[in-house]
Amino acid sequence: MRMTRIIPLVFLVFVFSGCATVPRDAGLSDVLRDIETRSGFEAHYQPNWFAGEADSIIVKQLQTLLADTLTMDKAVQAALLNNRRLQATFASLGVARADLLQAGLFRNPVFGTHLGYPTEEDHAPDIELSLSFNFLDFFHAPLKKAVAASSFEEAKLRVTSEVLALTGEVMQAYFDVEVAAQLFELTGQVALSAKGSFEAARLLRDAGNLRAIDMYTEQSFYEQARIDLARAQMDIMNSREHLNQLLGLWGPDVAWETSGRLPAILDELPMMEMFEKQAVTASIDLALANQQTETLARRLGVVNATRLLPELSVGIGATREGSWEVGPEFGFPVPLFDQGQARKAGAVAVLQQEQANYYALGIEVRAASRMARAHLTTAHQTALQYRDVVVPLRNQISAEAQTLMNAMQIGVFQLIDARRQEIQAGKMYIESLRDYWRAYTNYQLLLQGKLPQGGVEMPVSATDMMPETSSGGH
Amino acid sequence: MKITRREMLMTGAAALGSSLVVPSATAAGTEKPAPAPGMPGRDYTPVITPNGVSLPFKIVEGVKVFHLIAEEVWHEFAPGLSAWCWGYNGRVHGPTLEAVEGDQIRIYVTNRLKAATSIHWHGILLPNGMDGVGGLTQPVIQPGETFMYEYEVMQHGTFMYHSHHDEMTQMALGMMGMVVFHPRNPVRRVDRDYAIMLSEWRIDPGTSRPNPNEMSDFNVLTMNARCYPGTEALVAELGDRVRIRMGNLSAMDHHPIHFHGHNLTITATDGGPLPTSAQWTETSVLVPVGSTRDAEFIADRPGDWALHCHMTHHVMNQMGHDFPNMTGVDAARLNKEVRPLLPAYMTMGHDGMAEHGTHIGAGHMKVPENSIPMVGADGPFDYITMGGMFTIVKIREKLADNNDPGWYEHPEGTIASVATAEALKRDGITV
Repeated sequence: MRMTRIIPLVFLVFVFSGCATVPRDAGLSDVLRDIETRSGFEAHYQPNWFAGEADSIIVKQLQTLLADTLTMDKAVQAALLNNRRLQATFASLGVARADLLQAGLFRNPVFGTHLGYPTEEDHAPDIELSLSFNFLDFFHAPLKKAVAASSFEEAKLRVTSEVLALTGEVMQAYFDVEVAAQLFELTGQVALSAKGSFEAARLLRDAGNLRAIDMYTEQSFYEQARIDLARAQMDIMNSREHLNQLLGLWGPDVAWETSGRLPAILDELPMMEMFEKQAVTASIDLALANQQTETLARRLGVVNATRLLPELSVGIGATREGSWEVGPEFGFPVPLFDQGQARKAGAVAVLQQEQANYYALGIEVRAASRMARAHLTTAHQTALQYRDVVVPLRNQISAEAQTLMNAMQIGVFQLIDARRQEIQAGKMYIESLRDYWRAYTNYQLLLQGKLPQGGVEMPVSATDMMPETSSGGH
Repeated sequence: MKITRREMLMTGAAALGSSLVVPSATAAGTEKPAPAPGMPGRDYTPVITPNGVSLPFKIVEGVKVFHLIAEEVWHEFAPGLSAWCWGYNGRVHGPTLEAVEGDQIRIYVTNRLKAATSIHWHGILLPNGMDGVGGLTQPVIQPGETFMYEYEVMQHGTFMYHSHHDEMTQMALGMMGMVVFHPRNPVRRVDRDYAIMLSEWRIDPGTSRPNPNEMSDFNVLTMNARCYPGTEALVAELGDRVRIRMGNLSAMDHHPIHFHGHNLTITATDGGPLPTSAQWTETSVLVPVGSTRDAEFIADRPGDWALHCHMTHHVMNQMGHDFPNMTGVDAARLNKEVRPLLPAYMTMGHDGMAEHGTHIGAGHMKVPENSIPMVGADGPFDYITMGGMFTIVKIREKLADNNDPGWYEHPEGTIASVATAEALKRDGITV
């Protein structure tokens, strides 16, 4: 009959049309393009790396990056190529793609049969055959695919967000390595000055000019300084290993060297007029929340469409109890008690909740952008103050101390003390540089669309700056 | 100039005629007529104030009129060390006031300081209202005002003048000067007459104003407000009778002034001349705070003779006392330990203080601006490790003039030098 030819055709059309909207590369190219636009870095997915088929071009690229002095940009690029957790994140796109694929697939028809062999009489067995499929899938599939497509977009945004987060983490880790190296150097200078004081005390004691208690006091400062130096060495190791983790390095690859100096601070910050607007426009978190509301709206559409009649089973049955009987079969849940009112209310409420969250997030992003900007400005001024005023003053004080020492007005201990305070000022300058670069990175990430890890740090309040309570760090 | 009083009287009397006697304005015949104001050269030989001057005067209707201007002065203690001090007539200390017993003197005092002041005439007998104690005997002289002091000189000897208002501050900043009243009919003559004011200051290296709050840790000790090597030498010819008048207005310290090669005989105090039987002789004259001493000697040994306070810390400039005891410390090892940290470091004081001055003098080390080494100057043989309250009395057979004659040229064989091998052998000295 004509029907028997048309139905399979319609069937096939629906099946193939579902497949056409699922991207083959699981949206990876979209994600990679988005990442490059936002951050300027290229990421790569090597799905067959575990099977031993690493992309040789990428392997070579990685070796080039690790070859000479490791800069911050090189470190970020290496992480995007080699960080294994990032590769896991990219693989999750495949999972999301599978969900999208699944949403477009109709449920298989169900074939059932029953053979009844007579036990009391002797005749041919009774046969029952049935074949049924979910008729409404034809109509509901597009709606469900729309929901899945929106979910898929969410997944892509999540991946982008994680990649950006990784770039931020790598930058911070890189600064930590540089800072640890510079602080170790300065802590070494402090230990050297403590040693100088101790040796002077020892020589004075040898000449009979100093009490034992005074010599032991100097010695105790020196021994403490040595402990501080050991700690500073451990800080270097910690920061290096953290960066190794982020870059996915082990074995001989961990022997990279950095320049040992933080990048020079800009004398003037670039004025970004519409930074708040830019932060909102670029925000992945906001885009994600928006996409989530979209998903929930589409899901509400599905709930609405399937409220009264969620399922309709249509099929053909044939039985032979002596002679064959063939006929259609229908089945559906009768909406007597449950008319889907709860499901609809639930979907509406969840949607409203997500909408409220979206607006709340918008306000948080705006506040975060203003805080990040303020923090950056303050950190910048602080670092400049150290560089241009505090450290040069300490240099001056040391020079004056040397002239007073030459005039025999102060002794060697006071002279060394002045030098030690000069070195401490240098350490505080390095710390301020770290704060500055941290604030800079957070601000940049915010403009690229990522809220910084753990939120934006609150600026230090005035009361915290009182000399008695400050501990020379944070 | 060496002119005897007797000669002057004999030649002068005829020239001046009756102007020696000026009739007094009071009832004729009942009062002794006031003597004419004493004139330098004729009535007295002016005293020499090393590094200083005498206050000029004019005669107005028989009264000797002086003008002292109290003002802030940028004063040099020695080349390389100067400070803002308070003095008179552009000088620190003020010019020496000289007059003759019997003079009627009138001193105008103009106050150009920002603080009120007064002048007390130390040791001088005068009407109470002229005594100069601010608040007690007179209103203080406000900034801008000019007061007039007037009294008859009724004594002779060595005295002083100084501020008597907020003395701790004003005297610590230099407001003082010597006063010499010559006798009208001198019975003794001297060939050289010098006046030296002793004082002490606290000036931290790198600063340029004395600290008047200092009570015990003074670091600049001066003769006539100069510290060695800024002190001018005293000169004398062999055989001269030399008088050195010393006044001490230090804030807190007496000074035993020691003289080399000669004994000093104290011939007067600020109470007046001592009768010969009461004069005593010693090598160090203790000049207490607030006193003057006249010491005389016959310059019978030629040479460069040191004259200085014998307190060892008073013959050093700007000594720091926060310096640890570095004596005997292994300097080479200490330098090695400290130089990696401070490249310009140089251990000092390990063999005493002597090299400090030479290093600074040679420019090896940078010192705070406006400060001088603690000790000395180059001498004819070696660096002289003295500073502070130290000067030199140069006695020569013949002096061309009153200027510094340079270093003494010792006769052969009279200089202590390295013992020769023969001498050691001859006297059985094993080294």
